[in-house]
Amino acid sequence: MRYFITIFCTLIWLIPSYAASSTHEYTLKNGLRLLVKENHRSPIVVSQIWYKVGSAYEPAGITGISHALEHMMFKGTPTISGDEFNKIIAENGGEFNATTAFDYTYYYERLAADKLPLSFKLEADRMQNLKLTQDDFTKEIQVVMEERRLRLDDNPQATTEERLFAAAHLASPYHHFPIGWMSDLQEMTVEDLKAWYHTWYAPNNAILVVAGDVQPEQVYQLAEQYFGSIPAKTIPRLKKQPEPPALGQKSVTVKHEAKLPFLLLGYNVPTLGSTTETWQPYALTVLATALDGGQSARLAKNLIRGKQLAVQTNVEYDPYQLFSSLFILSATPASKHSLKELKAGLLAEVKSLQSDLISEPELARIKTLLTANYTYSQDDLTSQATFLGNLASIGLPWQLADDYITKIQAVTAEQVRQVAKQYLTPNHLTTAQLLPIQDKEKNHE
Amino acid sequence: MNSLVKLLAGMIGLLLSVTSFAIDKPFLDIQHWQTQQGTQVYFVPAPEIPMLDVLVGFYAGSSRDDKQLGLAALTSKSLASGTKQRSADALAEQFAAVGAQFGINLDKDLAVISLRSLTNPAYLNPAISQFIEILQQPSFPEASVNRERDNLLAILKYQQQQPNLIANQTFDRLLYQTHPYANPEIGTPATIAKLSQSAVKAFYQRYYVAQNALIVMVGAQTLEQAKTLAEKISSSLPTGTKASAITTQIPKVQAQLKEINFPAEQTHIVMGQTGIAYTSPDFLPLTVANYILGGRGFSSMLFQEIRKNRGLTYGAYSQFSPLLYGNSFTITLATRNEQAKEAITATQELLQNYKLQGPDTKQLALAKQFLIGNLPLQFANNSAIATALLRIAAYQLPLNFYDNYKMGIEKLDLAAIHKAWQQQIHSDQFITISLGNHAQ
Repeated sequence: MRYFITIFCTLIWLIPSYAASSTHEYTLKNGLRLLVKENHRSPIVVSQIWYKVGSAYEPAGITGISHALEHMMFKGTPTISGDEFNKIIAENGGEFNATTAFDYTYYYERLAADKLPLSFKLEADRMQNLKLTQDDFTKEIQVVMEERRLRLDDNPQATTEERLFAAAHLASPYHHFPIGWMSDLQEMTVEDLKAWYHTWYAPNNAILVVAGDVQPEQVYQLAEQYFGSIPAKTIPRLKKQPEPPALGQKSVTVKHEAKLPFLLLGYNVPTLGSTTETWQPYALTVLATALDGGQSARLAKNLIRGKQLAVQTNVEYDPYQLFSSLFILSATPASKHSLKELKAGLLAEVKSLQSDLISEPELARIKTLLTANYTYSQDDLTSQATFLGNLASIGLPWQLADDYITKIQAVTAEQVRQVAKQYLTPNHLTTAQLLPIQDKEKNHE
Repeated sequence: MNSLVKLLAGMIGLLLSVTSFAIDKPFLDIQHWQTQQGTQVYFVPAPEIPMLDVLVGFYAGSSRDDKQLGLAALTSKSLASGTKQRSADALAEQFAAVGAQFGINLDKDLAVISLRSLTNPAYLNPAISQFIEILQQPSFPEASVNRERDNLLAILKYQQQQPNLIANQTFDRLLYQTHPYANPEIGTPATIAKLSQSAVKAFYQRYYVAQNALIVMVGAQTLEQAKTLAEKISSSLPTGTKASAITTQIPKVQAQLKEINFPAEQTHIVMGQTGIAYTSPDFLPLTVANYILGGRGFSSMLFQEIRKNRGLTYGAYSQFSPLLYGNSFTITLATRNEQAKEAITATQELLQNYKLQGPDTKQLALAKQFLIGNLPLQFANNSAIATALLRIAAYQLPLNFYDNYKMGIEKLDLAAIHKAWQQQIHSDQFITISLGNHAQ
């Protein structure tokens, strides 16, 4: 059983990780980038291929197409069927899956280190030869719709977050979630998917990330062997699509057959992909930790234990995104308090960070916490590989992984106050509230 | 327990002549000992990263609630809300100041209190001493207990908006009936409302004791350091006695279909029956049989038939869930309301065929290759190793459990697997929960 109520999130606030100077970078002639991270702790390897395409690349009408294509990528090629793909990985004791996010789609295999060539063989094949048939698509799009019902439509908090993103983003492609709108899924055709696949799946739009018990030079040779002959394509440029200036705060209400009310406050803030003021996303990371870095943070201390306004609080901010995005405070009110009181409580915490500098002991505690988390994340190969792939997929240097602690340590109390004052303002705010209703009420509307 | 040891000992005897197995390094280099107070300790050194995980498990899970449902949950949740010296705020600040992570987890059998810390003594020492302070001298302030009780009620409501949770809880209630495993892990609104500070204190005094504790450690410590640390933790607790075995018999289950109305697009289906213990001679054959039927992975029969061929669901899985005093076998899936009947029928047909024909040679070969080949991936980080150790500790499995697992699976043949399945799994006797909007 989990004690902490978590909300569905497409934005995972990554705790970064690395082991200094063990990342090697190569670029093949066809433009495929390769990042190799040596880690000889266990005789295993994580192999990931990242494509620079995700829901932020999707125009209106075909939302969810990157994710639908991700599903179809497991349907096979003329030489290796989908079933054969499954069998090859399983008989080698391996694991595989894929993730689609706003800014990227990636596929991974986890295998014994000496099985790495299998991963390259399969990924190189489906990068260029995917079989997209009407019959497979007709069934798989039903699976995707079931996934949407499971994750979104039957999940009141996730639905509220989806509506928050839609309300907060007018021009930005973060307007829709990677799963896509149900109506667009219903309209989608296999021809749409073919066009999407042929546009974005190419070596010069991909990054191969390998972490584990491997030798970088050998991995490079293998990459040449399997991917070297795949021709590059002309890749369309993703337009910037900045948000128009905010003219006042926005709010959205979701009525759903839920048992608990729920509140989300989303502020439009910069990310490392959107701003040249690169200190700001780190200051926002420290700010997020001041509010929600565990039991000692302000929301737990002041709103859960102190004023007892909330039974659960959370802050989400991901600095590693292509475009400006949301800094989200969320909370579930205690039974004796209304959403209005809860919102006032959350805003009071924001205000305090705008008017007063955080104390040196608090700042030191936050930095220690972030640094320790960084060390802990070295325990896991997948999180190390994912961090590198995420950076590369949004056009940021992978070296930022190595600089993380330095950047966090450099954040000052004044910078934290400055980003709070500049961005956590009413104009940048979108509020989303979930109001529980009975089933029949909804039917009467 | 004993039967498994005997069974596995037999296998080891048979296989000693197979050189490749005999010279294999064990999957886990487990050090096991008992503290002076009688706490069982399991330790795996992991020197690569300067961090340590400490898990202290108590047989104080929700099955110990007796009539006061939710008491085990409230006790564990209230543990860090103050000690004789420090307030909840001070405790939280001190952990953060040294970069330590403190956690609590509860299931039907165990309450697990955990600490993740850096191993630099400047961080580790204060983290450990405060961790011990919380285990040894929680003050359970009345205001905090009251607040945690309100939070439990909120968590309960949150659970009530998650259809998969309700379906699973309903399944447990119908399967376990009068056994404590039938109860929801955090209680009911009526029982939670009655829980008192004095009940929490009494529950803590009874169950949070050295004889009822297990310690699991994984990280960058020497054996000597680990022994000192375990002794320190164990000796801080009263000796006490181990929780007594739960002897309530699980009544025989009647085949039944339970339809529950719930406002949702999808119907959640849980179907199943009694499962098997880790110590059952059928554990390994059924592990393999289950992987083929509905284990995690894209190759399983359920995944192929219900998801790939019919497009009915995002996920369809089967699993055995062994506990200390009872076990379940379940198949879970979710599909849009109007297809629920089709999904149940298709699953039943698949089960009937499977019982009749059993797996084929190709399926068995693939299952063996996966289950054995995948083992190293399961122990690739400290958290995963700690989880495996906790399982060995809590269920008193042999230290070479995973080595035996590998050898035992290698030896299995089709007949053994098919026979175990036919003897244990009776789909015509299943409890089936169908929770969704049945009007659609």
